[in-house]
Amino acid sequence: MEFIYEQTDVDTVLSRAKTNSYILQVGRELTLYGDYMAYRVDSACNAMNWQVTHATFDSIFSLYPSGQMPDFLYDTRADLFKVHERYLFDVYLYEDSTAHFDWTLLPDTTTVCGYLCRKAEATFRGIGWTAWYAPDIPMSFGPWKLKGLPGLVLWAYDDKGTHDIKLISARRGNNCPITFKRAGCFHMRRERVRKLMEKNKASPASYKSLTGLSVSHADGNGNPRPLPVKRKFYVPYELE
Amino acid sequence: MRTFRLMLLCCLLLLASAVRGQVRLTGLVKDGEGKPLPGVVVKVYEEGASDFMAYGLTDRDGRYAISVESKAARLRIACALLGYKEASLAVPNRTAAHDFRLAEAPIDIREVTVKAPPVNTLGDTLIYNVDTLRGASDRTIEDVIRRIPGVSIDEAGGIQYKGEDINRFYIEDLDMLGGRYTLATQNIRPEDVLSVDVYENHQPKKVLKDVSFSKQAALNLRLKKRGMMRPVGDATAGAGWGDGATWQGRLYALMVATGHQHLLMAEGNNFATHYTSGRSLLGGGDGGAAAGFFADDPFGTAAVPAMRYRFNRSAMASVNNIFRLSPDLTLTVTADYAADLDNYDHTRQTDYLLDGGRHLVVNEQAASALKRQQAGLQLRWEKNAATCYLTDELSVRGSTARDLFRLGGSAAVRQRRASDVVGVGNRLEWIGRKGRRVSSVAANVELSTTPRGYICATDPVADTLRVRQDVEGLALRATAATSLGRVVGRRDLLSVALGVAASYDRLTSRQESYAPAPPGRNDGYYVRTTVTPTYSLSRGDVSLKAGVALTMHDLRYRDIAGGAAASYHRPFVSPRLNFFWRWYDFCSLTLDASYDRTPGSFTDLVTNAMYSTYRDVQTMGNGELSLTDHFTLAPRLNASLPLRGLHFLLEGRYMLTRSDRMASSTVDADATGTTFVSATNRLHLTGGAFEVTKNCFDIYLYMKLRADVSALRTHMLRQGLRLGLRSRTFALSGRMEGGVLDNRMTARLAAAWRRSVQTADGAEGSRTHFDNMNATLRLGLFPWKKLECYATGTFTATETEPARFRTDFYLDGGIRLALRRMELGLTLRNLTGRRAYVSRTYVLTDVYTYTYRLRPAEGLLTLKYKF
Repeated sequence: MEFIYEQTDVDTVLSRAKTNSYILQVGRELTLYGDYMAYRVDSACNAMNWQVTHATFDSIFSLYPSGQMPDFLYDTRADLFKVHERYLFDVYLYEDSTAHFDWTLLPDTTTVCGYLCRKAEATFRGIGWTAWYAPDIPMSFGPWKLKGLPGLVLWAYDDKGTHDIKLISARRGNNCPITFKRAGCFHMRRERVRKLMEKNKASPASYKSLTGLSVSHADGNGNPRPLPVKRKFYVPYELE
Repeated sequence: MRTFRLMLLCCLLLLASAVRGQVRLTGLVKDGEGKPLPGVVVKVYEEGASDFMAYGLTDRDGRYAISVESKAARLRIACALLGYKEASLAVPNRTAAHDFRLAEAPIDIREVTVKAPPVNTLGDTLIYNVDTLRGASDRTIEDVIRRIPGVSIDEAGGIQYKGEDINRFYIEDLDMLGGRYTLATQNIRPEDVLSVDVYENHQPKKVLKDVSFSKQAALNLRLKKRGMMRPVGDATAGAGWGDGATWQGRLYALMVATGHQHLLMAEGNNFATHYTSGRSLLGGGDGGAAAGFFADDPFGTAAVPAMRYRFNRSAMASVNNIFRLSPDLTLTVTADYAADLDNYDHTRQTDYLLDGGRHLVVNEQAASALKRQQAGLQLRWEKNAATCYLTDELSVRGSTARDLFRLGGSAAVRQRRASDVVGVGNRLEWIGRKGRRVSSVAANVELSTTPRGYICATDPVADTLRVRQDVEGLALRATAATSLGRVVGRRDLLSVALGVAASYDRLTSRQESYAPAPPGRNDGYYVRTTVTPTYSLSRGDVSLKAGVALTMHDLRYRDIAGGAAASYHRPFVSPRLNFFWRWYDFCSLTLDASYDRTPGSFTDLVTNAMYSTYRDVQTMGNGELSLTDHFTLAPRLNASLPLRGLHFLLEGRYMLTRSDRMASSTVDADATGTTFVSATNRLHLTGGAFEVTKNCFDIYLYMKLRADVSALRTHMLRQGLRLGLRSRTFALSGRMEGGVLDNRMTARLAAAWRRSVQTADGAEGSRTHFDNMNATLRLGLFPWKKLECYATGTFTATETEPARFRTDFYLDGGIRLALRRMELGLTLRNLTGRRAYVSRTYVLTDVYTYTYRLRPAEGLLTLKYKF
């Protein structure tokens, strides 16, 4: 099964909002919540049995521009998240076995995508969440790291209005395999990744890639220009 | 003392928990194979309650533990996980362990899309989400399909994709309608369709998949779940006023289920919708020389749509069914009937080019009353499996025409026409594949008879016979073909095809006139035996198909009445080449080239003069077989970025036809005679087109620009003088449609300019040219979601004399109010009250100017019930 969500994040410092599409791929033992554009690149390449040239891949990639979104792979048997976070050249990978929500079930109901949903609330790592789950879809997880409810989470938002994730499409999968890259990533703890992302986004000029590559800016004639000091769009999902 | 207090405390706690009813339910959940299932949702209910009171999830070992407080005597535990059948158990309200075993079950989830990107791709399939693609004023799915990049739809509703006709039209992957898919495209509502899938390079026969490359595409409609398993459609009734009362009635029903589909349509109207002009858009057979001798519109066809000038009473009924008897086996049964009774008036001024730069102008005023009926029945049985393709199709068709033309002008004539044609045909095809060998057999038999066909022209004033021409005919066509192929390498195919095509024709004609000609009797046969070795090469993005057909022509035609006969028994070699190259995944280049010869046709021996109208006399042959060579070359460049809504097309064509005969015509005030003489003649036809379309999905804007150019060069005889005819046509057309104000206002603009230039070398002062321009603007307004008001303005400008244009403006409009299942509609036509339409066109060396009397301002109020 595949569920496509529309995720809106609001950066209250920059006063900007971004909306992206994510896809939740559900398998027997694994689920993957990731960028929908990246999924479509993989799907198109998969249709060609990955016999693609660089030119072909570039042309497909240009059709589905991806914005360095994180991936969340959840192993239902191990109750373990593996998460990719990306910033420029660096891909960070961390494992999270402590993502547990203490939900309070409420009697409210609503309808999302034609499914009757019930309400639940919980505070998770400094952010208060409201989630609407569908009892008719007996899966105990949802987008991002939301899990532990007696139904799939179709809609969730935080108490500050900075995150809103809502289901826009549910469909049978097209047998596209769930792929999650482990090679080429920097394995580290969750807290360190969170601090690195916060630092890189808040002050991009101080970014130093763990690969050793350096970032420089130049004008059209190749003359160096100072690195941007403006803060980048960043809305954390966890504050602790 | 301390110990006593501790014991008392424990007893009190136990007593308290017992009073409160708190229990602990635990257990293990496994799958059908006995493996623990983590993530299972375990809910606990009080027995009889609909809401659960507590829940838990199984851990990695499949274990759950739930604490429950309840005073109920019994509880119910329910375990659910997607992909498994839910299990529940009623248990006593006490601490205990309860294990479950879940059996696998198909996933039963409603597929739903609230907001979807417009296009998905999956290999060679493009999936267009209809809700995102459709415009507010789209009435049928054809309006949506038209907007798909690369798609063009002709006036008859025929769909082309990237310049090629589509080879299949499916509904939920079943081909119920064959070539008559306009029954679906022009009636199914966009709101009932989930997506339109475009299967590029579609090979409909599974047995040829990866073996025989196809340049054609297929379309597939996927319906929304609410449109499945129950009839959807509409019933409409309407009445109004125009030139007398107007009326319309219609019933349309489509039912799509898993193993069968049905489409029923019955309609009648006198509001200018015609039914007998439809044709099979995926091929058809001919009825022989007699069936097509008398033209349906002998005094010209209008450039303006028939709905503007024909006063009609029409009815039709169509029943279509397809049954999936097994995963690979389908049975299709269809039956159609259509009838049109038309009346219309027009004048035709024909400017004939004579010798010495002289012209002869003939004016005809025609009041036409046409009565046409068509009926057909078809059964098709098809097995389409990976190793075998087998189909048999039986069809029976019939058509009748009873026309009356009252002519005035240069001569007063009343001309009747009657024509009955009946045909029956059977097509059998088998393709088998075993490993790397592909074999096929195809046999096709068609019998068509024209038991009755005549025109009878009388002078209404003197009440005398002017001419009566009768034709009767029979045509039998049979083809059988077989092929053997072997897959070479990974995907190449070497095949040899053996085919035999046989035809038998018979034509009988009789004539009565002021100067009657002797009756004609002709018959003949033609057998064509062809062996065609073909090599199909496939290398990644390149595909090449090269074949050389060795054909043995055997024919014998007889002019029985004239005592003449002609035979031809010789072989000929015909090469053909098809090349396809795709690069960057969005560009493709195709090249088709062929060279062929036909040794003559049945009509070459028809040397008696026959009247096709009261003044047009044709002699179809000159008594000798006309050897004709054909050479064609057609390159095409396509570039398509469907996700960006972009499509480019650049195509060219060149055709050279060399024959041993030349058309010769003589014109005088009483008659126009056409014969053929023995002379070498070449016809060069060159053309090209460029087209670009852009669909901006996000802002509902669609744009198309097309340029066409064509040139024709040939020779003919007129009044015994040899003329070199050169004709060139330039056309530029554009189309734009979009919506603003959140699609509350939609606009569709189409404009076209066409210049025709003609020169007849050998005739003084023969160079002429004229321009035609037209533009149509349709505005739609949605004051609120359920109400649409629309108006369409059509502007035409025709150059009737050098630098002088006749301009016309037509205004149509309407209102449509949708109220849940009901829809109220008001259709208004010709609000400007134009009563005449003028157009000019070239036919070889002559200029035809038509003036049609148009239907007046009229309206129709309809009530539609949708189900």
